[in-house]
Amino acid sequence: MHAPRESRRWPALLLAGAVLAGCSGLALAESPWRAGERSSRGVAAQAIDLGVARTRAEAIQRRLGLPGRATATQRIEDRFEGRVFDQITFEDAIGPSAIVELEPNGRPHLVVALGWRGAKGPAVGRHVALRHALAHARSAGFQVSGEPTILETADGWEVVWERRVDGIPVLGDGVRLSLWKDGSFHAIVHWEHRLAARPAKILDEATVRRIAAARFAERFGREDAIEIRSARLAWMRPNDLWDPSLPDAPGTEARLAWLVAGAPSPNVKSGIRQAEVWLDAGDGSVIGGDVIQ
Amino acid sequence: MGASRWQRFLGPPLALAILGLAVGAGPVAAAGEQATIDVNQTAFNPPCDDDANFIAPKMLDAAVAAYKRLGYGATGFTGAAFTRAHVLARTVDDWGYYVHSHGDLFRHPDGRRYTGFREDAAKCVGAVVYSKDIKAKRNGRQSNLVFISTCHSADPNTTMPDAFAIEKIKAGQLAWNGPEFYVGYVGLQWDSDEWVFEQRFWDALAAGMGVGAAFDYARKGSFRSATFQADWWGSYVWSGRAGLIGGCPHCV
Repeated sequence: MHAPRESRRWPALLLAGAVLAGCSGLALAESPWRAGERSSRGVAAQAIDLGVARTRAEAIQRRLGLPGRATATQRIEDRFEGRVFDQITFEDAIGPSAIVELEPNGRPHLVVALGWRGAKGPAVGRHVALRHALAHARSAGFQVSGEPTILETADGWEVVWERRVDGIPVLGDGVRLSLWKDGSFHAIVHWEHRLAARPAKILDEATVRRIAAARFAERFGREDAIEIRSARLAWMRPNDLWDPSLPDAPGTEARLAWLVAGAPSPNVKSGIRQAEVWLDAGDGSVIGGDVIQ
Repeated sequence: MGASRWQRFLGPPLALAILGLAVGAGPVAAAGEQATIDVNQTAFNPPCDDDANFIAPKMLDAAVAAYKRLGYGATGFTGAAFTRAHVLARTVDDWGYYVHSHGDLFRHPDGRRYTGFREDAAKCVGAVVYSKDIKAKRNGRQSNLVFISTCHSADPNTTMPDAFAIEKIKAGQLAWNGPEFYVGYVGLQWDSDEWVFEQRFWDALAAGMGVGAAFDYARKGSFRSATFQADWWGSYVWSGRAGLIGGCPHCV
């Protein structure tokens, strides 16, 4: 009686295959992003959710006076940032005219006016630029507060409202808005990453300077290699600058850290201008670092 | 984001480029044009530096993969393989070029200052590769995509774009300055911010955005520094793909 035995075997094989496929799919979904790979990819979303996102994006586009009509809506996963966004592309007669990205909860994340249209009116000064920036941010539905950093760029103005928690900056988070020279809208983005629990006890500055000096000496093999210049508290997303076993993308959760900055001492030949080690504010462990070359 | 949408966007200027070719002469480049990716790692790791830098090798991997996706025959070099002599020997055949190193406006032996960057050469402080040296070797040869991932490479007074025959002009949506694009950083920038910018730029290009749109998109990354700045010159609507017409199959 072969047939019945075969018929019992197939469901078992299919079940095993399904389990294996499911496992490998899961493994793929959870594998960390690696340098060289595409960092964004489309992910499944309900049509109704995408429809709502598109309607919201169209409202933002109208309020900012951007040209074109929505022609594509998709949910994308940004594997570098560990975030998911609904991305809506607008087109006019010439081609793509704007990109709007929303968080799945409807909060605006990014608006970019494409095409390098440039300024059409007379250039504005710093105060007028800030006034325009506030108006554009409000129109686009981005909430800003506090004193921004205003930077004159080659093409206009960059206005940045840094996110702060209890007065401590969350580096990389906040609202960044670009204006053309005449104050018209170019682009805006809002970043807000998860924060880890604040340590119950925070190391004092003298202690972290000692720890940083030891770490620098350990790395360089001599104690006078680096001159420590400053130490300050900030929320930082861990990176792999000091540890290649960590993922290629920065962590998705920011930790309270001491940023200890130093420069090569004069008796050391070095190509770098400034180095930083990030120490966990609670236990002093290295969570990352940075360098200016 | 669908690539065809972006490729239609690139159509009119590319048609103009082809017309220009018909009257302008010059050899038509074949697919797989050479791109060189040079990354200085020695200077930024022990024993040369106090802190090991694991961002630089990622930049190398990301740039090689990105240039390959754009149709270049891309090869990466680092350590003893990335020397001044190597740069100047390969640049003659480069359509694409990427470098990550220490960069500045260096004083040349001729007494003038030029934008440049340091070779790796497995030395803590390598020799400077000046824009003047590259310009002399290339002798006006056209470039495609040039990304100088160093401090000061896109300062207003940078001399590097000219070395690759890229005018410091921004050709916008309805303009066309040939299939060329130069990207660099303004002033001093942290490596982590450069890394954020670069991976966003490469990914946007892979999504089929033109180089200008990819630049605009990359500019809105999660940068630690409020004063992060990059700049560009070239043709905003170009695809970034290798070759004299940009390698866009749906444009003509």
